[in-house]
Amino acid sequence: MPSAPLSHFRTAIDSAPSGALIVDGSGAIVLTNRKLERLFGYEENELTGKGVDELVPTDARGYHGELRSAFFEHPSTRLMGTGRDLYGVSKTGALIPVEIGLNPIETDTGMLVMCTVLDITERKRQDERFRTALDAAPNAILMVNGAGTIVLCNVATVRVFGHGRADLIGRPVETLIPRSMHRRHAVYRTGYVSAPVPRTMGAGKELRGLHASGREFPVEVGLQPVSMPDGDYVIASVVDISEQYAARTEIDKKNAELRARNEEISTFAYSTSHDLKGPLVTIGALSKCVAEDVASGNLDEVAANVDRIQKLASRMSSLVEDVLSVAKSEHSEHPRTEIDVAEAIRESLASLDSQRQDSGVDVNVDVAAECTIVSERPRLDSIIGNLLANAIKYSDPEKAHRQVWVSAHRDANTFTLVVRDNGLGIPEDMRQRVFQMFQRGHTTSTPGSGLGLTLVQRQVERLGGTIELSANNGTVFSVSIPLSEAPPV
Amino acid sequence: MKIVIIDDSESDRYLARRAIEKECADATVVEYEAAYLALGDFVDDDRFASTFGGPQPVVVLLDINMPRMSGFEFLDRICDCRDKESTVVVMFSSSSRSADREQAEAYPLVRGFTTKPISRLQIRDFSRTLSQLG
Repeated sequence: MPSAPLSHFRTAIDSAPSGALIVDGSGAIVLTNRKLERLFGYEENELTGKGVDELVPTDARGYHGELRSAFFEHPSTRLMGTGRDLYGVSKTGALIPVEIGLNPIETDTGMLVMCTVLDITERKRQDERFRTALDAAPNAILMVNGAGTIVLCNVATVRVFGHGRADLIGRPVETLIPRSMHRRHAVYRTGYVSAPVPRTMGAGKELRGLHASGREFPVEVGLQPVSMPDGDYVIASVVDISEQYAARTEIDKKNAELRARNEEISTFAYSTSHDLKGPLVTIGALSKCVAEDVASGNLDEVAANVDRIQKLASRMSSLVEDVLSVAKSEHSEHPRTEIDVAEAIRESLASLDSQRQDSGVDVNVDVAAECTIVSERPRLDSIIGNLLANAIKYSDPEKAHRQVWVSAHRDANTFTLVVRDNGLGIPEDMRQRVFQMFQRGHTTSTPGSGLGLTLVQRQVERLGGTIELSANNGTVFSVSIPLSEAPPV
Repeated sequence: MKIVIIDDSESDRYLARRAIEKECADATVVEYEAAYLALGDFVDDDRFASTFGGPQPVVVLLDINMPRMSGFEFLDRICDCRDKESTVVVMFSSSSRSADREQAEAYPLVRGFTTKPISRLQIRDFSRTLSQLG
């Protein structure tokens, strides 16, 4: 290569569009142009003869010499410090972000290097602005290159995925995707890069992200292709939709509950009106019979029909009461009070005493004297009362000893009530539906409303408990209710 | 003529029986207070013949809404054993719900659907229809 005198270099660097300087193998500055002197705040030719380290930030000076020597051993035209942020230092000590081009030049006196120094303060500022804008976004935004490597991400990405920003840059984007999807995602990604258009990812599919903790979560992803001088990139915007997802799931659940409740209400309205209308129509028809029989003087028949009318009327009124109780059980709030269980059972039995005597049933009570619980008294009364009334009502008239056993006890966290009888029992095919509204298991002279056990079940559920039905020469109802308070000492 | 009343309500059975006695004095009335109690006499051919056998079909007034076994469940159980030459079913219910009526009409054995209380006029109509059948 022909060598050239220094004056030729002067012309060359003065015409350079950016700051430029020439350095020799020892690191001494041979020439600088005005742009460079102005950039670093020096007088004309003030730098000539000084070490180039004058322009290198103090913290980089330690290794800069070594790098320079290495460059002189293997010279090539290239950018300095690819991938690193480079700074120069001005005469006043201010750091200036720069991009530095290196051009080796052979001369008669040895090798020189011409460095072009571009002030990238403005570019840095724009870059910074861009990053700030990205960081202001509420959703994760990441930029991925054609190979699927993350080259940029915002703070929200750190929050959403739980990885540090530094951990993500340079990693495959699949780091953020559940393992089961990796293979497919790589194929989709390649497909997208070959025909990129802005769109949402995985139309119609449920997409999932992978958190650093291993937790998967539902996401929505928008994709935007970006063409840069150094290649094609894709910007992905990722929204964690866990909350929306949970809210939607909750809404779906609530909707299903409402639907079920609506269906129940319409069944309830139908059955109630049916069960009320039935006896009413019959009362009307019986009254007509009464009128006919009065006219014809058939007074025995009149008496029989008046008796029927009275029974129907009292049945209707208890049905209406039961319907009201069921409706009320849904809404009413009762204070939680301390309840002496033995006393509650005694009171229930006292109010059922005439029925008990009519049916000739013996009731055996097995409750510890000190069994007290804190619960809603009206609900507990309703549970005990209905179960006892059923046990008495459906006693078996064929049996010589008609018996009902009530036992109640509590431990640290559960109250258990068992009502057992040796009565008619509930036919096997009825057991599934006894708790449904208006299901009656027996044909009796005084039919029930078909609501008693529905009511009991609802009260038990309202107290957070469960009720089970089993058979043992009769019927056994076992109620258990969780208790929150400690048993009395 | 044999007329069977299957209804859990004593009053409704009484009203139907009273209407029948006034309209068809020659009819024999058999009452069941539950469908499951009537089932045996309908599914067993021998029992059916000895209880209801005769030249004329047996007329069944069948309530829909009954404890333990509904009128429809009863029909489901007997429809393979009885044909419409031997058994004429009239559903009667205090409901006039159209779904009940449609369901009733789907059974070949069912010839009528009526709401309670059953009137003497309806009994007269049924017995007329039946005597034409016989």
